[in-house]
Amino acid sequence: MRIRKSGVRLYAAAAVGILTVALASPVHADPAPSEGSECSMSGATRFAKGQTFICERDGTQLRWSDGIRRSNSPLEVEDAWVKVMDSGMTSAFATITNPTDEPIRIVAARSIRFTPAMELHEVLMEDGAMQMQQKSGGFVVPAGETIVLEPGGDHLMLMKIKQSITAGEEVPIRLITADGGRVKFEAMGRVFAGANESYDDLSDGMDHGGMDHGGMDHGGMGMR
Amino acid sequence: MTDHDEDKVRRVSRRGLLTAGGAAFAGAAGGVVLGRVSAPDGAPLVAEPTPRSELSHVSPAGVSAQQTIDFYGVHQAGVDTPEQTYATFLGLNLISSSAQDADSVLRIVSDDAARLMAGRPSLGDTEPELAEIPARLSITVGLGHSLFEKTGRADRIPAYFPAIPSFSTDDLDERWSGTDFYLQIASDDPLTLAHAQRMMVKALSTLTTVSWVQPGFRSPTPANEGGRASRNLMGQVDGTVNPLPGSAQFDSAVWTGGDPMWAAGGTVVIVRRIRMLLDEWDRMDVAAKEMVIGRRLDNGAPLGGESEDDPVRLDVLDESGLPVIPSSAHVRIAHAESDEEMILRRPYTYDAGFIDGVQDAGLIFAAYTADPRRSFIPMQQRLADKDAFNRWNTTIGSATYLIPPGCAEGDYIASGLFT
Repeated sequence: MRIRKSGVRLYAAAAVGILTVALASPVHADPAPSEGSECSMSGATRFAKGQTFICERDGTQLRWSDGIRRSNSPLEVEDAWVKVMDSGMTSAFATITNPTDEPIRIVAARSIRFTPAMELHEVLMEDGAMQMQQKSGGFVVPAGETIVLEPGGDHLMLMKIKQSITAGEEVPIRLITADGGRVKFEAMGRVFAGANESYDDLSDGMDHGGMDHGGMDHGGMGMR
Repeated sequence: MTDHDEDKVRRVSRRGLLTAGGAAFAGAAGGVVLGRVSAPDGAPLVAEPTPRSELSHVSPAGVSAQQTIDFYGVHQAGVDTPEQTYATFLGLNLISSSAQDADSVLRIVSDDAARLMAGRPSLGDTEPELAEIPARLSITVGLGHSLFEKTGRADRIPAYFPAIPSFSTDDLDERWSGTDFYLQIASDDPLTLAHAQRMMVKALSTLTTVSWVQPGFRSPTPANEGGRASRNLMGQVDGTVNPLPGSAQFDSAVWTGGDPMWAAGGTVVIVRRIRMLLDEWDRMDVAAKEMVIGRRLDNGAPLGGESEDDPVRLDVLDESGLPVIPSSAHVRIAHAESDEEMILRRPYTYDAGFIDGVQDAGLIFAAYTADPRRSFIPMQQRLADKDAFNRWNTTIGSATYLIPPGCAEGDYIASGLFT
């Protein structure tokens, strides 16, 4: 993850408290999962009863997390875009700034119109090849700093997209932080030749070896 | 290394480049790592590029390398912007006939233009470093008649955006004709321009195809206000009589009025590709050329005048009673007969190699007007009828576009037109 030093903009703790009191707009309401029940897609989320539930790995099972009470996140998101794709999965990128004096951990992301589940990924060099995998613990944005999600680095993964994402399309995405904070932004669909699952894909087609996508079948990637 | 040593390195570096080649070769053969060798006089020599500070310039743009033009504003950039040294004109066609796709094109173009013009990379920029020298980059987008028609919006075509008739002197090649979209990308740095062009064509590649690309360049003459006029390949000083940006005359000549409201503050651009018959022009002597143009070649002064900015005096007669500026001279025919006829000329030279041994070069003549019905069309009709220049110039391409007004930050060009 590339961390960019930005002018440190510290909000007074009190101001943060006020900002996080209420959500600006009503959000989609999902059925609330029963406590600790199994779920099927890593990274899936449910918004219910003012709380967020995240489908997480628990040993060999995927289970719904305990609900985390929602609030408005002070994170600031800019330069967001998502790779144009017909079907399968695709990735999204953005510049995220934490203007507060406490680190903020992003644990999930959601774009319910376009995907049933989003994952937080990192890219690692493994056996001489670049491979993507879920980043344990999510993305931490240090106090007063900016992180850049970019091709070849940390990124958001939209799994099994429900509809094609075309150039110029605005894809609404919400980030969810460990303390239940949510921030919404729009990522613009952009044609991009890179940000492939692994470089092997360019010649060998899909190869999920070395990937940790929770054993999911992701289907084919479009627009390669 | 001490300061003294560093001085020594710098002093020998020029000569070192020559000797280092041989020394490095010998060194490499002996298994020595290339890059640090000794000059024959024993001074340490580091084979490295000349420091930036010693180069005469780092960008062809010179002083304007870091200058930026605002994308956001009442009008689009690239019209009242002082002409950049390089400009590329592109005609693109929408692959589908979907209004939503047309809207996506405008969103992408606006987003890319705002970033690149500010000297920042576009979203997903694969070569972000090439965005670092904006050099007055401007990106202007225009809409062709065919776009309105194919997206079912022909009823939104303003009356002041008519089809331009063909003229008797035209020899139009379909290759350079009207398209759905128009992009005009200009900068004082040609690499910046090429990068912006590549990023935008790539970003639009699922929505549009490129029909034509016309790269051009210019070199201003210093005499004119702001150095706006330039010479073309015939040696002619071209574009002297232009409305001055910011003046009331400019505003009424160039920017469109309030009907329809959505297009107010825009303009209409006519892009003509004019091939010059340079080998024929070469047969003429200077005096004859000046009679054709109506201006002196050396300083651009109108015949009968002293300097480029002198008024064009059409009524002055010589001793024999003939007009000093001949009746068929280009400046006479092209002279606006009223303020209504004023247009903004923003010509660029093109030089596209040779066709069957004949040079293919000339002018990309971009004219901007609030209403071509009262300006460009009557003027061009007169030129077609009488201009002495026609013998050495052939218009081979013509395309016309509506340039919508600018937009505010957070918005995009022509938002709402296709949604």
